Amino acid sequence: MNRFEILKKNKWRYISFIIGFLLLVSPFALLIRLEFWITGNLAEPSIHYACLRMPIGWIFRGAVNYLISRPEMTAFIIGVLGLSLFLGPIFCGWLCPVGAVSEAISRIIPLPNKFRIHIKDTNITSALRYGFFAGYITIYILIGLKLSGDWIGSICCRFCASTILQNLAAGIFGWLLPTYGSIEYWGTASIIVLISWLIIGGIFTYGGRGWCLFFCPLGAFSNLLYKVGAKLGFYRITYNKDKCSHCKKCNLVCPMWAIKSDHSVETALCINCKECVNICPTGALTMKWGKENATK
Amino acid sequence: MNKKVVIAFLFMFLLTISTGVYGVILSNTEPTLFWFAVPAGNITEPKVLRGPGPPINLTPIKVDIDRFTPLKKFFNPNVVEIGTHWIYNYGKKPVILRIELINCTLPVKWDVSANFPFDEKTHTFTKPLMPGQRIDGLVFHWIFEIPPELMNKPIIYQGGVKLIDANTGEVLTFIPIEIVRGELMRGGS
Amino acid sequence: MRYIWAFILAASVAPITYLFSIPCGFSCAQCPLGGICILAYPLIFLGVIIIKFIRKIKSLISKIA
Repeated sequence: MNRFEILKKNKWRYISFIIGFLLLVSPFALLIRLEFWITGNLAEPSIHYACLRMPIGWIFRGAVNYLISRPEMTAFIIGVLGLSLFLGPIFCGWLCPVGAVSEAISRIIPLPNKFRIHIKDTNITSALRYGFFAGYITIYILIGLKLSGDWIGSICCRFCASTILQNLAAGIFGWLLPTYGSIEYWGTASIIVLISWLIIGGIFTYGGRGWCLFFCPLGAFSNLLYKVGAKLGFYRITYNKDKCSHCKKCNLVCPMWAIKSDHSVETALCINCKECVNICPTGALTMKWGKENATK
Repeated sequence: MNKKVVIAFLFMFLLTISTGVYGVILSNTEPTLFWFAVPAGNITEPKVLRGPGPPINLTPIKVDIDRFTPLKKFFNPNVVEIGTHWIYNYGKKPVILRIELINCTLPVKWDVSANFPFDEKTHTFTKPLMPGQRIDGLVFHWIFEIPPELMNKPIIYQGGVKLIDANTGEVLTFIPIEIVRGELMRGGS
Repeated sequence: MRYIWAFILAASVAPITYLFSIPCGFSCAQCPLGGICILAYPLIFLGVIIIKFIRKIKSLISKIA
């Protein structure tokens, strides 16, 4: 398959990723800058203030005080999750800079696919993804029940691809604007995260979304809501068996391994990126609204 | 119960314990985050300061670079980061806080961001921190870069951080900081 | 069945990733997780056993029906 053809067909998605990077990642962080400007916050804006992980932990441990004291983070997560119910995980598929960078690296580095991890059984992929999510949530519920130490916030940040991305961006673009976030320091945790996110999850994973598939709680949570939304008839991907020519092009372009063996789409994995819709030569995969043919 | 379930349970349980042991043996000297509060006096041994907020564990900071994990030793052995997200005022009066790193000849970068005005030249939070309050949205890191010639010395840095009332010059809290080689770390967690 | 195993494996990995990435305290349970990783296992396995039990009941009901 021609890479340029894919690039052309999905140009809006890739432009959207650049916008996502500019909106969230320091030294640009335009969305956070706007919010700080409105609220009069003096801190240096960065992706840290739109944390993709902490509020999910707070929700499951019942930490209402944290959710209230960090309204910007809470609003961001609730917004992303709300969108996922009605429009699918479009934040993951169209804006998230963490997923975008690892996906881009996977596509840029010409590693033969035989060296890349690719689980073709969507049930296995889902089981691994939601198993990890269950383990993550279990920890937070136990913390909420006061069965553990209470300063989970600090360890969250040791296990955070967004922070690593932030620090890399500060190192590359820091000369443009005053910024905090340092590329000099690498601790054990950050090295492990870097390896898992960009090397294993990016270069050595088919599609470059290993981190999103197996470690991102926001991604897993968004997809659960998408699954519910698709059943209720909200915006979703649909598959028409009669039109399918079984060319398997969708399988090759899907970064989330969401195409099932019968070529329908697993909504527990799909991020509505539309790569499969755009490549499908017969129009068997389309986006739809409404109750008709809602997924079961 | 299914035998396989029991075996899997024991396997994962042992794996967790051994990972914990790995953490204990190898990686307990990357103390990136500490809690700070004023006024706590001279912190020569671990101390818990109680006030209107959470109890704050204050402890002398000792980093033993010999006990870095193999990954850290391989990729980034000469950079040490010490920082905080929490500076509380548990005293009775508002203070304008100045932060001073004493006896430091190592190159050190101050990486500070907060929803609180901070003067980078004087290292002073220019607004008074009210009693019971914390510095909101604080991300504060010192990044020490150890020059190659000091890497083999037993004591690389011996000093500390002073949290000073900028108006009176009074030292409200002093926390010793040491960066050493080959000594068991005692501070931080 | 292998889906359940994949689920268990991943669920067990979640607490371990925290342990791996944290410089722990001097002994187990002194890290911010406070030993929660150990508590997580019985709960995860209990969940799996419940799921299996529900499945068995469901299949029994469907056989009767």
